[in-house]
Formats: sequence, structure tokens, C-alpha cells
Amino acid sequence: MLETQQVDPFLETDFLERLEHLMLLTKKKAKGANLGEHQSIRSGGSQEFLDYRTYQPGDDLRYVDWNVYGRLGRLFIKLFKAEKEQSVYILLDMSASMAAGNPLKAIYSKKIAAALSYICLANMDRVMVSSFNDRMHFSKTPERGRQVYFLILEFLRSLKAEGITDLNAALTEFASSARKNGVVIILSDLLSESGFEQGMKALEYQNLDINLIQILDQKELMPTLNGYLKLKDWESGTQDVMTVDKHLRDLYRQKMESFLLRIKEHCHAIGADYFLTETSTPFDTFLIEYLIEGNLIK
Amino acid sequence: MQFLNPLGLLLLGLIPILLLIHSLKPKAKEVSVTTFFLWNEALQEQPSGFRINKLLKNLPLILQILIILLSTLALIQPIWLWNSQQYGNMIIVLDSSASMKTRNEGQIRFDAARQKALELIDKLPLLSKALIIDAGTPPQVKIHFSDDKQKLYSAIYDIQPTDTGGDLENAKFLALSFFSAARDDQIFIITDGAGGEIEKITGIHKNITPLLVRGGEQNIGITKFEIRKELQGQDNYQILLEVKNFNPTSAKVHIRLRINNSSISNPTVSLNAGEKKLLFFPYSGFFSGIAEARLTSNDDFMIDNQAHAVLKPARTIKVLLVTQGNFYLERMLEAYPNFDLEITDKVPQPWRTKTVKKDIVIMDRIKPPSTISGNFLLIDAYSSNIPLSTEKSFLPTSLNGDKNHPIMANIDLNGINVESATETKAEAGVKAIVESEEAGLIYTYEKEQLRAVQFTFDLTRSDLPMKVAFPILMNNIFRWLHPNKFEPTTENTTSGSSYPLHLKNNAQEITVQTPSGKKERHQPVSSPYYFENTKEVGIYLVSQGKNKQFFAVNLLNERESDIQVPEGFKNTDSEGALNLIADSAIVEHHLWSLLFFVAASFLALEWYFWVKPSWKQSI
Repeated sequence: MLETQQVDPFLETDFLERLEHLMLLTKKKAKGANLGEHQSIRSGGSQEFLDYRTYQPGDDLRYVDWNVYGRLGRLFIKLFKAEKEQSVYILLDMSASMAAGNPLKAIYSKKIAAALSYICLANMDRVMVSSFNDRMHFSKTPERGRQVYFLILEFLRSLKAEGITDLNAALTEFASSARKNGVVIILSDLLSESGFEQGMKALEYQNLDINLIQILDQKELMPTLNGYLKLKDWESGTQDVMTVDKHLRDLYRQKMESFLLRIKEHCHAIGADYFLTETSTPFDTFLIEYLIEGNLIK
Repeated sequence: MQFLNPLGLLLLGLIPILLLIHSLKPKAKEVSVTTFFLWNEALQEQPSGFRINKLLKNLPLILQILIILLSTLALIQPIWLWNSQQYGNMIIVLDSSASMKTRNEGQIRFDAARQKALELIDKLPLLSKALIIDAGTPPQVKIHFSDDKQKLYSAIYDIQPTDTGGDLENAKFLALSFFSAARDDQIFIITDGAGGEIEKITGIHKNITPLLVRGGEQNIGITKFEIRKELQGQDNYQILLEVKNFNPTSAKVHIRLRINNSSISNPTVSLNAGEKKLLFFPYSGFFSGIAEARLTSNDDFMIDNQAHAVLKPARTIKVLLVTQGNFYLERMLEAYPNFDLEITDKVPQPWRTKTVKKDIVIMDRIKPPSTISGNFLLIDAYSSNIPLSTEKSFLPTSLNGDKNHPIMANIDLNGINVESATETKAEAGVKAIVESEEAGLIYTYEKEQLRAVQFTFDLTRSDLPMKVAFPILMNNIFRWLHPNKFEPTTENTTSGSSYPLHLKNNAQEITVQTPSGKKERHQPVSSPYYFENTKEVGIYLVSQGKNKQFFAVNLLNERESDIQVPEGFKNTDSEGALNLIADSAIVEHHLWSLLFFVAASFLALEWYFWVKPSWKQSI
């Protein structure tokens, strides 16, 4: 099981400075009540002109276009594109299987979660980081402000990889409690026998901007096991004896390819963004290069 | 294809065991995986019969099965048979016995035999080899398989006919020991077939072909020649001569009998066809010199027309008896006319000087000083030079003697009682010739110049001196201790037999001159020294420094004297013989060695591909 001490230090100060120049991209418009740095379909107070509408009592007189009034004698309110805040939900898979890998998938995913949190908080987004295994383990409601980052770090440090993965149950539970819209980023190895599709569907119903980051270890993708082995499931403890040879390894790789393709196709079907990384890829390379290229951040 | 050892198929039983061993699984190593459900799916999709396929793809297993199969095939000793036009090797046995000296039109039979052998070598097929055996006594290989014709010719010319009886049968066995049926070898025995052995020798093997040489078949020969002392009279002797007519017709033969060139008798004897006559001639006079019997017959085989005997008179034997008194022993020794007996009750001093000229020294219950040469009779007296340790006294029961030992000839041990004997433990070189149930009673010991008979009991404490066996036993002992002086003897042997030369002490070198005048030097290591090269009949002179002695060698071999070539026996000439080996023949090829080699190669391959990597890994 992952110990909290293992995640320290999390992110270097230099790296955090680099993250300040990045922001999370979203395919759907933000619906936040407060002004943020994301475009909203609601008119707001940015400098980019959107439209006019007739004045109604209670409107902010600062937005009355006095030039039009002078020409037409009627009050019109200038509408600008509003920069709205958005809610970002970062969901970390903290099932026992995340304690595998080199480096550990759990640490890798915590680092990504921390970095994405920082990016979002720096852009005045509301961020909520939660973990799940066979159910959700919510932290606090989404909060904004840089000071929240330390609370998130504290939360991440407290997380331990344990329990069985049930993505469908956990994501459905999350979808039922999450606000509509918003961005959800799922960090998981998706190694759940019960699948993930149902949970992803539930998120889609909530009109959430779904981003799925699958984290796998190299040995999960290209296993080197050989010989007469008693394989034991990391989470459930189920075991079976088999002779692993080149032939079985080839079959396994085919299975893994099919599994990854299934995830990719499902994501595509529900409009989710899918990212696959392996723990041997340096964390900062994945975050800065791969996620920018994949338009999750810019 | 034939299999010589079908029982070897039992080795195939190892294959199921091997398959079982390979099917056994080791204890599985436990490994935790996060993708168990994917592994399980992969396992479910593994095709059925995978285990069998896996076994089939198991290279070490395949190699091991191949090794077992090949080893089994090798063990059952398969023989591949095929018709071959290839010539085998040739083994030529050339008879060099005395009968091959039979004269025939200015030549002897051996010349014709040699010619046949040379012709065989002339026509030795390409890639074939020949081996030459001299069928003398003993038979010997003159040259091993060779295709060098010059060496083969030379080996044939090296073989010379002798005056000995042949040993064709052993020569045949020697030839068969080199014979290979697989190569379709042929054995050619070139002989005159004298003595009627030829059917017996050639009949047993299809690859043995006799090549007979004929010619010159007239012979009357001497088959026995002995001289013995008559019971009556001091110097009366009897000469025994046996003469046989080997011809198919009756004949007369004139005999000339001489001793030291003085004629004893010159009778003429008539003999019917195949008749054998035993003739006795009395002789009175000095028993010394050379006796000669000669037939004046001018037949084709000269070797048996003469016989010699070297007459050796009885000599005085100097005997020293050291005893405190032994009535029976003293009386018996005094009875020997040619014994020069000296009796003393103390060990004479100086020991070496006093005993060196004695032929026999008898120590009766008095311990002798250390000595390394001489002939000793030790009665309850023990020498430090004889490896015999003494222990306590015992009462011997149930006496048994070694009936094959010359000392025990004509001895009856029944009824002999020994009151007390010394228990002894004999070491190497000491041989018991009389034993009781408890321990040995009489031993013999021979080492270099030392000869001894050891009694472990006191004669006076047994009734042996009063038994008939006593004088016979003593006589045998004296003969064994000093055989060449005991009584008048004839010094002769038959050709081809070894002859014992009794030499003076410490003989370093002797020279033996053969009847043809050839001198041979020998370094004897013991006395008697057995002279082996008696291949020539006549008188041999042995020189040991200034001492000289003679002995005679005679053929006296009735079978060899019968020089008649068997009639009706198919004679094959050398041309025919070569045609014989040119015939196609079933050739056997033993495959076991090849199979073992291939099995060993697979084993090496197995080691290289399987064991070696594991070994490397382990280090």
C-alpha cells in the first residue's frame, strides 16, 4: 500500500512557476456564477463585445451605451463575453492496483492531479480532488484560490492505494452528486474487470467535459513474465496457475491492445478525451508536452 | 537388417518415464499482477492440446527421446547385411613344421608353400590387406595387416621351416582372432596336411581355405629313443628304439646305433606298411657321452632318421646333515650309494664356506644361519630367509597332500600320525604341499638360488620314518632339491619343447650353440633356466664360463613324421583361392558404434543448448 510519505516532495517550485502559464482547456462553456478566466455563454464583463439589449431596471448603469442613447434616445445595455469560472473535478483511482508499477502508478497519478489542480487554481477555477476505488471518497466541495492547493496536497498525501476498483459504481456515484457542466479528469489504470462504460455514461449525462487519463506501467503493457507461475490478482487475491511463455505473452498483448482500443472507442463515442501514459514516461514530459498536444491544457 | 540383442528394446521403456518427467510441473512461483483478468482471458483462449504441442516443441525432450531411440538401436546391435563385391582382407597361415622339410624333386615342401604364399600376395586385391602367421611352435604373427607388398614378401621370406611339430590348430585360432566376417576376410592355410589335422582345422569355418602342398611321401622314422638303467648290474643299461614305416608299402631299414662314436648295434629291420617296431639294445659300460641312433634309409623326410641322447652319469651328491641325532634319517641317507654324507651336531663355521660346496644341507631341529643360496631340507628348523612365521604347537589331524607336486608323487599319507607340529603362517612364495586341517606341515620355497623343503614337525615325534612313504618322500625331496645329479640321466628333449638348464650358482650369462653352429647368448635369472629355442634337432652345447654341458633335441613326433598328404581332400590352388575371395558375399556391417556416436552427438547438442545456458546462468 502506498504510504503518504512516498509522495513528498510533490512538485518543485520551478515546475509550479511553469504551470502558472498554462490553463485547462474545455470543450464546453463554463457556467460558473463567478467571473473566471473561461468563456461563458452568459454575457459578462470582459472587454470583448458580444451584443446589445434593452435596459432593464436593475442593470448595471456602467454597461449602458450612452452613445446609442444620444443617437436613439433609448437605453441599451452593452453585452460583453463574460469570463466565467469553471469547476474542475479531478478523480483519482486509489484502488490497490494503483500501488503497482515503477514508479508507482499512485504517485504518478497524484503528481498529475497536483499539477492539474495547480493549473486550475491559478486560473481561478474551482477544483475538487476526490479519490475512488469501489466507491467515491469525496474531499470538500470545489473551491477556488491558490491557497486551496495546499489543502489539495494535504488530501493527496493522505490517500492510500487500497481496495478493489469498481469504476462504474464510483463514477455513477460521482455523477449523481456532481453539478452539471464542469470538467472531470479521471486518473486511473482502468484495470477493472467490471468495466468502466456505465460510469462514463453517467458522467456524460451530467454534461461534464470528461477527460480520461489512463496510467499504466510498462510491465502491464509489455509483460516479461515467464515460466510456471501462480498469478494472483493484485486487488481481489484470485489466483490461477499457468505456464507463461512467449505464446501466452503474445495472447496477453493482444488482449491488452483490445482493452485499450475498447477504452479509446468508448471515449470517442461519448465525446471524452482519452490520454494514455505509462509510468516510465517522465511526469513533466507527459504533462507539458503530451497533454498540451492533446489539448487538455494550453 | 538383423538384431543381435533384441532385449535392448527394453530401453524404450525409458521414453514414457521421460515424458512423465517432462509433464511434471515444478512448484509454481507466485506473482501478483494487476491485469489478472487479461491473463485469464489469454489463458482461456489458449488452443486445446496446447500441452501436447508444448511437449512436441520441447527441444530438450525431443533430443532426449532421440538419444534413447539411438541408444536402444545401438544396444540391440543391428547388423546391416548387403551383397558386396568388395574383397576382404587375407590372412595367410604358413605351416613351418618339420614335415614341411619333406624333400620333393630337389626342393622341400616349404618352398612350394612359400611360393603359394607369394602368389597370394602378388594377387592381393586393391584396398585389401594381408596378415601373415607363422604356424610354428608357438604360432606367431609375422606381419600385421598390411597392403605393402614388399613388407609382406619380406615377412614370408623370414619364415623358415623348423624341426618342430607344427601347431596348426592354434595358428588357426590366432588367425580367427584377426578374422572379420564383416569384411569377408579369407583365411588361407598353406600346409602339407601331415598328421591328419587338416580336416579338423579347415572343416569348421567356411572362410578357411586350405592350400595343400604335396610331393615326397616316403618315410621311415624313429619315433622313440630312450636309455634306462637295468635293474640288474651296476653298469647295465637298455636302449629303447621305436621305428615306424609310414609308407604304404613294406620296407627294410638299416639302423646304426652308436655311443661316443662306438658302434653298439647295426641291425636291419623289416617293416610292413604302417608297421611300428619297438627295439631293445643292451648296453654295458660307462654311462657318459652321446648316444646316437640313425636310420640309413634314404627317404624324403630326414629329420626323424636320427635321434640323440646325451648320457649323464650319476654324480656324487654332497650332503650335510646337522642333527643332534636322528636314527631313521641317518640310516636312510647312508643307504644312498652316491651320497657323500657328512654329519655334524653343530652348525658348521664358517657357515657360507662350509655349505657352499654341499649339494644338499639338512638341518634337523637346529636353526640355520641366514643364507640366500643352496638346497635345504629343514626339519623343524626355521630359517630367517624363508617367509614363514611360527606360532604355537598343535596336534595335526587329517593330513592332505598336493598330489600334483613332484615331491608328493606316489606318497600315501594315510595312517601317518604326527604327535606335535608347529603352527606356521606362510607368506608369499611359500607353498604348502602337506597340510593338516589346522595348518601346513611340509612347505616348499624357491627364490633365486635358494631352494628349500620345510618340515614343521619333528620326524622323531611322528611315525612317518616307519612308514613306506618315508623313503619315497625323501627320495622325491632330494630329486626336487638337486635333480640333475641324482642318477644317470639322458639330457634330451623333443623339438619345440623348452629344456631346463641346471646352471652353476650365480650364472650371469650362458651361450647356447645350436646344432647348426649358431650361438645364442642368454642372461638366466634363475636355475633351472628354461631354454625355449629348440627348433632344430641335434646336439646343443651350453657354455657357462669354463663349464660346458650338452643336451639333445629330437623330433620323436609320430604325427609329424607321418608326412602323407591326406588323399581325397580338395586342393585349392592360389588362383582358385583368389577367385574364392572375389565372389560376392553377404557383408555384415555393425551399426552400433555409429548409432552410439550419433547418440553422443545429440547428448552434446543437448548439453550445449540446454545445460550449458543453465550453468552459465547459475555462475
